[in-house]
Amino acid sequence: MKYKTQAVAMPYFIAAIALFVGQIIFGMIMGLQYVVGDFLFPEIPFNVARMVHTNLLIVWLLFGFMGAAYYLVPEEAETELYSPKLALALFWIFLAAGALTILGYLFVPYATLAAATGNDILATMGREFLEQPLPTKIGIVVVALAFLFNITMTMLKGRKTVISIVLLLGLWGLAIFFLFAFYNPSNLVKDKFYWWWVVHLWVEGVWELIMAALLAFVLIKVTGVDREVIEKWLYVIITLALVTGIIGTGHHYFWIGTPAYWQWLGSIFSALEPIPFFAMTVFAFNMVNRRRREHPNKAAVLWALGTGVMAFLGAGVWGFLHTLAPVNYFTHGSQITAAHGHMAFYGAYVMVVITIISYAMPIMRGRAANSERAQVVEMWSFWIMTISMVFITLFLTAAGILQVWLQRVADTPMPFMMAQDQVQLFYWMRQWAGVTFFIGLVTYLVSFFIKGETKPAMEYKPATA
Amino acid sequence: MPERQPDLLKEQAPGPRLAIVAEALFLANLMVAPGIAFVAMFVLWRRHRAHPDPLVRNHLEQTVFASLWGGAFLVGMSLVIFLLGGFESPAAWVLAILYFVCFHATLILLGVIGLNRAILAQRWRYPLIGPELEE
Ligand code: HEM
Ligand code: HEM
Ligand SMILES: [Fe+2]
Repeated sequence: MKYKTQAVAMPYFIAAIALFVGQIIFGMIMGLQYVVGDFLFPEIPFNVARMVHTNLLIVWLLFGFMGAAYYLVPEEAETELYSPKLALALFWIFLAAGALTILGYLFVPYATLAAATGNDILATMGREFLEQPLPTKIGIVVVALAFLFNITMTMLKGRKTVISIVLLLGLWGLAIFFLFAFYNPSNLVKDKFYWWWVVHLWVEGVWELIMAALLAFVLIKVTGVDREVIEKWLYVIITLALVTGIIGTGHHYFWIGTPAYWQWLGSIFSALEPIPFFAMTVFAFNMVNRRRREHPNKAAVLWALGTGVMAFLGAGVWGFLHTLAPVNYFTHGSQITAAHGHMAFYGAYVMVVITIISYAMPIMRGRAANSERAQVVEMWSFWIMTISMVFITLFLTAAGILQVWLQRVADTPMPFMMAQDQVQLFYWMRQWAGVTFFIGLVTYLVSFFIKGETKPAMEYKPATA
Repeated sequence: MPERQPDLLKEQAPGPRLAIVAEALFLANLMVAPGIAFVAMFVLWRRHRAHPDPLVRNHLEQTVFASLWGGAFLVGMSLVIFLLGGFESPAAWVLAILYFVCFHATLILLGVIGLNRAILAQRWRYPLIGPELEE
């Protein structure tokens, strides 16, 4: 570690991983409920498990992004963090708010929770991903603003690099678009219209900037490639992301009551959205192929390359699969959507957070990289989780194609639940792939506790040709 | 092989322009401009296949033949699945779509490696679908 205040990233990363475990446990509960309908009923109904699964995902990714920023910005700015105390206080506030919210979901009926938390003053609850009670939403905004203040001040008092500017743009965008979570017009069309300004403009807009910046940072560190080379790529990637992603929001405006021109705008612009993800794939391979000497942290290099590949597959390929209006007409809201949602979230944002953790955690623990043995275990966890996620995606895609056929294409379309019965086999296979994913996650946890010979942390100096 | 060893840590794209263009066209053929990009690539290969730089020859030849074989397998296998299963069979649709998407994505990822080899002035052979290397 170059600056001792970078260490505030550590609790953020630990919390992220802990919540990740919770997320996957609820995924497995739901996966089982898909095939054994009354599993854990009435203790944990499906809709509650779903809320916990998706909200934990978002919250732990936010922990990951914040930890990443606390680690990255001081190092890039070449100065200590503006206020490490604030960062630590925000950590506890965010953790307490997150935990309380999840407990609220689990132990209080949702309607009671809404009534108790002022939803009748400003109704914001009940929408997918944005289910949080009003006080939690306000808490998120407060934490986000204080966090942004802290890292922006850090950057302003130090060196301003392209990487940290792109990261900050992404994080500011994240906070600003979250404000639309408070806007909930009673007109259902408008409600959905602005709901996507949070959901879509996050993952297919500003979060891409965060992802590109984190990848670039780790790639500079592990390859030793010149900053100028990497910065050119960053400019291209963020331009492509914004040019395609903003109007690409239209791929959610096909059938919700918005004007028909969105079918054209949404199809054309979102069809180009895979390009920035593709550019990141090329970028990751390009940088790694340039390096002259092996960086001691091979696991971090693997995660970085994996992010490049899996984000393209999940977001780019599986996104394109259903993004053209004539296709989406049939696939909208089917298991194909879930297949894409899983691989895209995992491939892009889960993996990029693990990439930075994999790079930074050993350094914060006082070594350049983990021992050979620990890295081998970590790389096993990479393969188990990644391959399981590929299978989850393939099984859900198969289920989705069948579902669309039976329920929407066939001459005598089946009702929803009858079609669901026909694809049970794939849900069972998804469940086994999910259990394997969990084994991979446990393997990942284990890798943190494996000891062995390590070298002390120091700046990695690339060998000259 | 060129005499000069490029400094990969500093130079943006030391590889020969024509090789990079060939690999870029390979990818464009798979993504943004199917057919058109192939024609452009084919014309380039016809014009420059005797190019003095072995790297240029390498990438031109690889992209043209890998496109032909890759395309044949991509479309051919999908058609076979439908011929055997029929367009009315949901199982055929499941298999054909999964096959097409996975094989197509594999070709793109191989193309990414090829493009990077060209950018970094290295040789490349598409596994199975690319012709054997010279020498
Ligand atoms: C990492 C980036 C991405 C993530 C994390 C992501 C995630 C998701 C998720 C979770 C949904 C389901 C939303 C819901 O609950 O209704 C969704 C829907 C969708 N995504 Fe993505 N996505 C990403 C990128 C893309 C890209 C690049 C494309 C297009 C090329 C795309 C196309 C779509 C479409 C068309 C839908 C709507 C599906 C429907 O009609 O049911 N996504 N995405
Ligand atoms: C890192 C891994 C995972 C990520 C990033 C993830 C992400 C998501 C997302 C974004 C959704 C909402 C999808 C949508 O709106 O279309 C979702 C729903 C779901 N996930 Fe996961 N998930 C993961 C792991 C798992 C695992 C291991 C399982 C189970 C074995 C699982 C089972 C489910 C189920 C059953 C749903 C509900 C689908 C529905 O509403 O029909 N997830 N997950
Ligand atoms: Fe979207």
